This record gives sequence, structure tokens and C-alpha cells, in this order.
Amino acid sequence: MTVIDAQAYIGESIYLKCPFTRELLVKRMKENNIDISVVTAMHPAIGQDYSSGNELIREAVQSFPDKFVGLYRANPWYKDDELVKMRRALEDWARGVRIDPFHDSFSPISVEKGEVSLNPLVEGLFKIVAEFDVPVVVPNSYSSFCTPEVAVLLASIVPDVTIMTNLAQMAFLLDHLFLKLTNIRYLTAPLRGGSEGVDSLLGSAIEIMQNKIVFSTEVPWGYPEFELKVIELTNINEGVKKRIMGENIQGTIRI
Amino acid sequence: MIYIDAHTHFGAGMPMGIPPEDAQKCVDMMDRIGMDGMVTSPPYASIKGRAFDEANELILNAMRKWPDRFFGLARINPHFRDESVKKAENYLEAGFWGIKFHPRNEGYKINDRALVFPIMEKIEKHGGIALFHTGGEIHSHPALIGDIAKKYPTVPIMLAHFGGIYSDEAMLVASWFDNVIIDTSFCRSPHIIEKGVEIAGVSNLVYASDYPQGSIELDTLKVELADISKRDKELILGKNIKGILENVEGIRR
Repeated sequence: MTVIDAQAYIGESIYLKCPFTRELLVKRMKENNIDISVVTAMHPAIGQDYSSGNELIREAVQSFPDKFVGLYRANPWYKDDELVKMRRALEDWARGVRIDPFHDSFSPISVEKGEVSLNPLVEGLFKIVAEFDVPVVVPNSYSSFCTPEVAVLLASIVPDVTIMTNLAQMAFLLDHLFLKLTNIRYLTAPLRGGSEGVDSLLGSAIEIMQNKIVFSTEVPWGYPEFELKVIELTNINEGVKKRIMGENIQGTIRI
Repeated sequence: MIYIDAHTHFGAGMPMGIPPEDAQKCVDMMDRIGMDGMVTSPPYASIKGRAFDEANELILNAMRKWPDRFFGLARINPHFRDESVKKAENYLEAGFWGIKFHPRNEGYKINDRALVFPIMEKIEKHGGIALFHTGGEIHSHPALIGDIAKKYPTVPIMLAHFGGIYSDEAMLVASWFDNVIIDTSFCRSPHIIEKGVEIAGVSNLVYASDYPQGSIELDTLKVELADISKRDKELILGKNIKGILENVEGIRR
């Protein structure tokens, strides 16, 4: 079984005691039997410009092409300048894009008179990712900029782009009950665990949408050891586990 | 090493048939994993007529049979006002180690002066721990704990689940008040424990799992994975709560 971590980071952050280098990530992957990691630049960037972080990701994927798949981290507030850099990265090394409404303070959607549309701030970005046919990671959170519901509504208005977001109950219920989206994937980290270690949220999501769930660790913020232990204790059927641990993300990013 | 779980539930009516409903099974489980004891209280599912009387009795009986393994906190629904205050006093006199409050499940604010403070006065008088569910809802915001901690400085006040999404606020409150102790159950990451040691101080942290809703194995793993010293891990996994229980025992004598 190929194990792919769909969300890991490389780089420096004011929240880390020391830089999390590509070598350190490879070490953690080896320790946890993870074959490939999808890597992104860390937050916060200097001036919230991710140029140096993206450069580290480019170097990482070029140094370990069989270990890493890179995403370009974009801050839409840099507008056209960012789009030029993003296009160049997608032509060169990036296999997807990450935007972060919480850390970079914007909402990806606008809601007016009951209509949901793309926030003009990200319209250009979504045109380019649709052109390249690559996914966009959009973390959801408690921030009103991008609640779980916002992430799912975003996916509903960009049918040509696959949105990857966190596994949150309100997100997958809205999707499952009403929207029936085919262009969304749910990242597992951070899992919570529960009675006897079983993560009931993951269990419910697997029952209704096993093809949309992709394993992730968020290392170094998250712990692969912990995420893998919860997966183990949740007693997932081997065939489903294979999809979650690797096949689903392979289909999404074409690894 | 001392290994005590500072927040568990025990009793009939656990959701989805979760064990244990039987004290012996629970003791067997502790023996199997090398756990010395657990601080425990009735689960939400054991509520009948909006009170927890039967479930409290079950825990009291378990404590009498295994006094070194079960450290029971009686669960009280404060909405019964004078009756709740009287019940709390009776339970503390009967040997309970404190009271468990659940502001979300019973619907009141952590620092509700009419509902919570009269019960706190009984805990202060008799000696005991006050355990509060925190996190998620505004009713259960950990910052509100400060109001109680200030008014009842001799009562150890345990803040459950590391404050949930408000872990930063939980750490701050614990750093401001020596009598505020954070339990690690369902905390989001080992990094939160590391930060807790740095900001709140290791003496204000206790390992907990919220068993059986939570997992002893996973919550212990979080402490083990945290980048903190062996000494700090030992304090969190058992020594701190043992010290708190010994202090409570001292007051009760």
C-alpha cells in the first residue's frame, strides 16, 4: 500500500523552535512508513509573502522528486504579482495551489442577495488553476472568513476545480445531504480519536464518502505517529484504507 | 511512575453501550494498562429527570469498594438551586472528591453567580475539586474560570479538554491563577501540551482522557509525544493530580 501524506510543510516559522527542513521531513516519513508527502510553505511568511517559502518547496521537490509533491502557496492580496509567480510555478514544479483564508484574512466567496459567487480577489487565481487542472487546498476553520460551510460552498461554485479542505462535520454533511459535490476532497488531519481510539467523525465520513477522504498529517504542526494511530484504532476496512491512505490523493493530484 | 487519569466517566447509561458499566471491569482495565487510579464522574447519558442521583450512587459504591482507585466527583445539575446545593454538600460529606460541572450539557454559564457560586461555597467549605467542562460554546469559555478561581482561591479548579478551541485562553487563565489546573483530554495536539508547560507551567497540567468517550491510549500518546522533559511527563501523567488529591484529603481531615 502506498501511503501519501496529503498535507505536510517544510520551512521556517516563528512558531517553530528550528526550521523544519526537507531532510527532517524525509526522516519523519521514513519513521512512519510514509512514501510521499504533498508539501507546502509554512505560515506566517514575512510580510505574508510566501516567496521564500515557495522557493524552499521548489528546492525540496527538485531534490526529492520521488518523495515530495509541491503545492504553490498563494496570497491573493498580492494580486497580479502573485498570479504571475503562481503561473510560473505551475509551469515549473507546482502540482496544486494552497490559499489560506484564515492566515491571510480574506473570504474566498462573496454572498449577496442570496447568491454565492467567487470573491473577486480570487477570481484570477481560480481561472489559472482551472486552466492547469490542479487542485486548491483551502483550509476551513473557526474563522468566519472560511468556515467549513464556506469551503463547501466554494467547491459548489467552482465545479472545474477540486477543492481540498479539512474533514469537518458541517462540511461533509452539507456536501452529502444537499450539494453532492464531486470536486471536493477532505483532509483527515487533525483526527480527534474517541472511544477506544475510534474517530467517529472519520468513521461516518468513510461510510458516506470514502472516495473523497485523503490522509494527511500536517507535520510538523501535527504528528504522523498520532494520526496513524487513530487510523489504526478506527478499524478501517483494508480496501477503504488503501483509498484513503493513497489512491484518492493520487487521483486528485495525479501522483 | 504514577499514572492517574484526571477526567473519566463511569456508570450506567454510557452512550452506544460504551463500557464500563461495571466497576470490577474498570479496575481490571486499569490493572491491565498499569493505571493507578482515575478521577471519575457520571456521564451525560446517565441523567434521569435532569439529575444524576443514581449515577452518583454507583460511583460512591465503587469508591467505597476501591478507595485507592476511584476518585469520584459528583455530578450536579445546578438548576435545582437549593436542592442542588444541598445535594452537593451531602455528596461531599459522603466522600466525593469534588463536583463536576457541565455548563454546556446543563445549560448555564461557568461563572453563573446564582447557580454555580453557592455550590462552590460548599466545595470550599468541605474541600474538593471543581471540574468544569470547557470549550466550544460561549457558556463554557475557559476565560470565565478566572472569575471563580479568584473568588475561591483554595479550591483546585480543573478546566477540562484544555479549553477546547480556546486552548490559548485556558493556558493564560492557568498562568494567572495557581488553583486553575488544565486537563489534557481531547487537546488538539502534543504541541498544545508543550505550549501549556511553557505558559501555564507544568504544575498546572494534568493528563486526562475523558474515558470512555475519549481514548486513554491516544491521550497518553499525546503526552508521550510532547517535546517536554521526562520529569514533566511524569508530573502530568500522575504526580500532579496525586498531589492535588492529597491536598484535598488534607483539607477534609
